[in-house]
Amino acid sequence: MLNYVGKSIPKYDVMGHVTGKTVYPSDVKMPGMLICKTLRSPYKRARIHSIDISEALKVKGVHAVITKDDVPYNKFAMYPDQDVLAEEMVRFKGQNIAAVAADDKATALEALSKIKLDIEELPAVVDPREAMKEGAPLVRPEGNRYLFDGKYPTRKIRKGNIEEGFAEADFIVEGSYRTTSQEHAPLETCSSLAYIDGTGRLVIHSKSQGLFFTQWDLANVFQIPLSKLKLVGGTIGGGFGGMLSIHTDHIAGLLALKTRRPVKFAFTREDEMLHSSVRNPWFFKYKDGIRKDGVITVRQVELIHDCGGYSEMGMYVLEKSVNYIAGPNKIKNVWVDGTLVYTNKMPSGAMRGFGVNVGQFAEQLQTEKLARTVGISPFDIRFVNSFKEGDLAHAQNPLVAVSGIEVLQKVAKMAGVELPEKYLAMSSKDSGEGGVRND
Amino acid sequence: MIKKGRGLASVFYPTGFNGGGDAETVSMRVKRDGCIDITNTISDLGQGLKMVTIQIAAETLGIGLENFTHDNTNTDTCSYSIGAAGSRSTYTVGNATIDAGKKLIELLKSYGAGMLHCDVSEVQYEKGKVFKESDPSQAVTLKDIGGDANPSGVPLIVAGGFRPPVAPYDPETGKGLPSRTVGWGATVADVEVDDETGIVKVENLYTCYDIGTVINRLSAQGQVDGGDIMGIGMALFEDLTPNYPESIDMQTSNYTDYIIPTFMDMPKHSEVQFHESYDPYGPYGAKGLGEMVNNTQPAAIVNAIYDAVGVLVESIPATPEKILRLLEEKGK
Repeated sequence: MLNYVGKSIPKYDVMGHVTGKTVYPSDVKMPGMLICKTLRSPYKRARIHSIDISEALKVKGVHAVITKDDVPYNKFAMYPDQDVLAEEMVRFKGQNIAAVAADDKATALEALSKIKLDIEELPAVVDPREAMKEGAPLVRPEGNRYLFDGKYPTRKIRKGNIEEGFAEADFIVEGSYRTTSQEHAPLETCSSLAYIDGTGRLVIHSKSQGLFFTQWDLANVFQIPLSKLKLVGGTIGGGFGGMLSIHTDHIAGLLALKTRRPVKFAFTREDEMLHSSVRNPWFFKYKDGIRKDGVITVRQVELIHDCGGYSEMGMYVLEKSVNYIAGPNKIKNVWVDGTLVYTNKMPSGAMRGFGVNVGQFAEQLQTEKLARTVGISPFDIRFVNSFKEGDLAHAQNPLVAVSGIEVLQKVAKMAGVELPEKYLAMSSKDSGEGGVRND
Repeated sequence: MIKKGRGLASVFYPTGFNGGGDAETVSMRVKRDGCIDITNTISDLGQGLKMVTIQIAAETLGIGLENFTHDNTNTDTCSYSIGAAGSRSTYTVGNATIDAGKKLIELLKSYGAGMLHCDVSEVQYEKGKVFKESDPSQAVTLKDIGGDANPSGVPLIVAGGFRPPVAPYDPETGKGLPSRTVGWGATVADVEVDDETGIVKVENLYTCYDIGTVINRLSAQGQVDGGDIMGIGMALFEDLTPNYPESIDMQTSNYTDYIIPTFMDMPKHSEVQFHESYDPYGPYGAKGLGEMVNNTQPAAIVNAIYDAVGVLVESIPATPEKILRLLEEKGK
């Protein structure tokens, strides 16, 4: 008998949230705090010939102007291939090139306008299908497709034999689906306050969703031991994955180290929408085989993830999508090829659903198509193909605590759908791998 | 004319990082009055993780919620965490909390046995009390132990940890172990589509999610409500670059151009039931929840539009423009 687990209990700090007493990272201010603004690339793909900051430094109230030359280690992110401040080649519009710390926002903006940027716009590519073609503008010098484990152009699932699956099918059904760029829209925008404390350590109040994750990455950028870097935060105004990517902490930290003053770098709502990571677009192509009785005999999926200019979390979300793209269905023959393509746009970050929800959106539309082709109901096709306890998932791992059938039974009851007796009698526990299927 | 339609979607969703290895640690310290400070740096971004940790700690130690605090504020004094991501917080931090709690019970028994002048093998722990098995009236409480140990210079501090197994994969076949634990869910959406304006209204959302044991029913319900809003936004409204893939030059940068749902867009009726299939690897049988709850709505809504007006919007969001264009093509 459980006493505390399973109860309805208001959140630990909810009263603070609803009465305005909770202090979020973006609420933190300090005396003598400088304001940071950054110069961003006006072009999607460009070559920087020179950056002249001399006039910007002369603006009264400007305390520092930094470029790539001021960054101890100019790479960051989960897969550290992003420039903190742009090197010669710019890969997306809005990429940070220089940063200013000034007494106030107006001075910071004035200083930005005084930076002389000699930049040459180059042909860009934003459609990943175009980026994969021969002769497309190179987003990255080594090529526009990511190679998994250093050599595989796709992340694969291979289970069973798709030729046999198609031969066994009564119908072949194809479908193409696409999802778009989505903003996390958290209440609190990205924000950092960085300062040097009394012991000479760098402290950053961060909106990160993973303080240690961010600390590790930043220590590398600043080239300082973890003992010299403290991150403060933990309770933040929404994240939805967006705050797993670093947007302001690195630059605020660099400017605090340079000026020895507290530096605030906070995104406006416009910054948040234009310059913080997003859910990047996906393309899905399905080819399925299905029998007259509704059994899906084969599923072949090609998916393309538009990763943007840098890797960020692209590999991770693609892998996750590939593993779940064939849906909650037991299918004997599965073939998946996932491709990660670099394009000239904001790098792909994490967003609630991490590559899985976009894939399952596509998969569930395809399932609808299958049901209509065969002439069975949306419930029929799901019950007939549902995974059961102990079945192997598409990555061939055994599934435990399976309840695909039970959630369908319950939702049908809630929505007033009368299910045939054979489905009401089904259970996820009936039979698993090696057992006898109801089909 | 207003056309009604109904759509179904069903999903399964992994708990934790792909391929495992996403570790968490939790520390516990007993104070002089027997209250317990928990630390773990996972971010609380609205999901209510701190309360979940406290509930799991209270369950493990058998004492009330009011005895605990959870500090997640900084990297100096709080225990290591990777972060809130991948529907992993309840699962991984929860397991680390149980581990810390069990270690604390052992420490309390050892210190309590000393206070009771007997061997640790002779005592039991139950609901904040260490007592002699042979004579339960001989007992010391958490308060007694905290009050004795702290001034005596004996630290009552423990740390627990949890790491899901690391699983490599075969690059030729994808064979591996993406996650030992998966949740299941299904949603029925009812919509009304105006075939003259293309405007869609979501009337009902009926959902069932299996998230294993529900740790905090109120928080779980809140996550689902939030997931419904995000799911409706993804299905019908949200698009940062409406001209993609031809161009991304027009990018929305404010909430006038980038439409997120308001409460006026919420369904008249939305209802969730949890199916609690006990997960053998989760804390008290719990699975992850945070992300799955915005997986089912987009497809259920788009399938419902298909049912209502006979066109399948293959790229979301299903805006009125797209629906009208498809209806026009269909009419030709």
